Amino acid sequence: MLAVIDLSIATIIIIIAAFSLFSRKILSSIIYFIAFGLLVSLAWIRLGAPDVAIAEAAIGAGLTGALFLATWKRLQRVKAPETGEAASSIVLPLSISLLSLLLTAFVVGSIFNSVSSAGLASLVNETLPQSGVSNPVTAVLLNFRSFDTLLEIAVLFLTMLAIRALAIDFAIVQVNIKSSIFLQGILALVVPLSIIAGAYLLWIGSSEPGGAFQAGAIWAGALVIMQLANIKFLFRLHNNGLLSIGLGVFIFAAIATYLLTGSVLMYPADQAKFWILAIETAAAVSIAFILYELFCVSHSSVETKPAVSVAHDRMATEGANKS
Amino acid sequence: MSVDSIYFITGAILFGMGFIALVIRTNLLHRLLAVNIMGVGVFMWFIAGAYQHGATDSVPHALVLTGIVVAVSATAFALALLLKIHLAENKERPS
Amino acid sequence: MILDILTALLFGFGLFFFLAGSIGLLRFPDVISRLHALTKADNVGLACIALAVAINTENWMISLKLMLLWLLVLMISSLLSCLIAQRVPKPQANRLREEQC
Repeated sequence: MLAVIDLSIATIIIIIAAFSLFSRKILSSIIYFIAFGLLVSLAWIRLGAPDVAIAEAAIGAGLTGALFLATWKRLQRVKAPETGEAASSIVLPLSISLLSLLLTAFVVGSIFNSVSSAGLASLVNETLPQSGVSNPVTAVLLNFRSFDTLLEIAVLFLTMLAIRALAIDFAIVQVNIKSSIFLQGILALVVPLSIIAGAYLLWIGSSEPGGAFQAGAIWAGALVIMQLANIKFLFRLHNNGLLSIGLGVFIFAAIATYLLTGSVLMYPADQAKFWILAIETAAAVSIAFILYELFCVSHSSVETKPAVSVAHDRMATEGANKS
Repeated sequence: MSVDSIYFITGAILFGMGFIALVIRTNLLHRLLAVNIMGVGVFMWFIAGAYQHGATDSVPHALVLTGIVVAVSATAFALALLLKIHLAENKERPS
Repeated sequence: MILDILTALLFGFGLFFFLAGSIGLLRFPDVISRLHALTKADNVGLACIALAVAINTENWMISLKLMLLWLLVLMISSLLSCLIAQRVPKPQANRLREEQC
């Protein structure tokens, strides 16, 4: 009976994905993609993955959508906008489509023939009490497969370095741009709430759905809103130390655990929770600032025209002119 | 039809549609969106595979979490490359 | 029993308001009127549905969190509609103002 909910969610996901992929205008595609991300987050909740749902909503839909929108906007300033037209010949797309449909049919058919296995759930549940946390996803991320998480933080860090190596003109805060007063007004509400929400998710990640990535994503969202409102404090806040502290603490923990217990990232007995929390905090801070810098590269350029006015300023001057 | 098989099929369809769009569309931003949607299809397949009544398997959840972060890094890098390509040819108008 | 009737009633109201907001989004002629329909109707619909879920939970903390979430959605959605309305192109905004006078 409850399959109706899942059928509707799945149908809407496919329809919105089709709109996103086959829209004519790029802006429509990006907006449909953001809505698609939100619905996929709903699907994760239906599949019993709340950690992934929070991360998908924050990073997958929110931050990726913001990156796309910012790049689209900046590309409009660089060149004349081009529309996404379909390829002229029909033979190649048709054959590729047939191949991909065959692939999809093969995948779908293989599910129903697959041997059902219990997976690693029993193994994780057995060793969960020794891991220091009670949330199994956090235990897997930061204790059982902590080396993968170390590499993931390294990938984020390397992406930031690679983007810096491209030497694109970007500014951490755009100056000389007038931002909306509504945005500046709501900051007093949004930024403290985001900081508290992120800190809460970071702390509660050991027992409830949450963790370092979700906290880092929410903090990155707060930083992005501050950048859109042109808060000058970001100049002083954003430094290389905060960007590298995540990877640094993780590597330090790897070396220290190697020296203490003889294998890399094998936490000493009964100290696991302390190590995990320390690594998570540093990683969350680092993730927030790296994601913020990734957004800045797409969004802001250094050369800006001074004092761009928004509509309400024009209406104010208009009212003064009329009277 | 159980919950996970619905999402198995949805994930497969998303992957197929994303692949078609990757081939057909010419604009690079559209292609990036198509790659992202293909990625989401793969993640859906993973998490549908982890769904069992009772104890849900947490290892695919952790893998997908890692996958989401790596996907956003790759997307950000691809967008930066796109910007660099266009900035190398044309001059940017002041905003 | 009364709880079930109340829940069904609140859900019905919520669905009605969401439907009204969506119809407004599709049928209104202008960006600003669409924003108006979307913000007002959808927020009331969310209030009804959040209330319907809140009276069904055993833990009063969850109900409190739901109400706080609704307040947050209210503030952020009004902020967003203000931001969008600021960027409405000038001829459209002028025409609306002249039509009203």
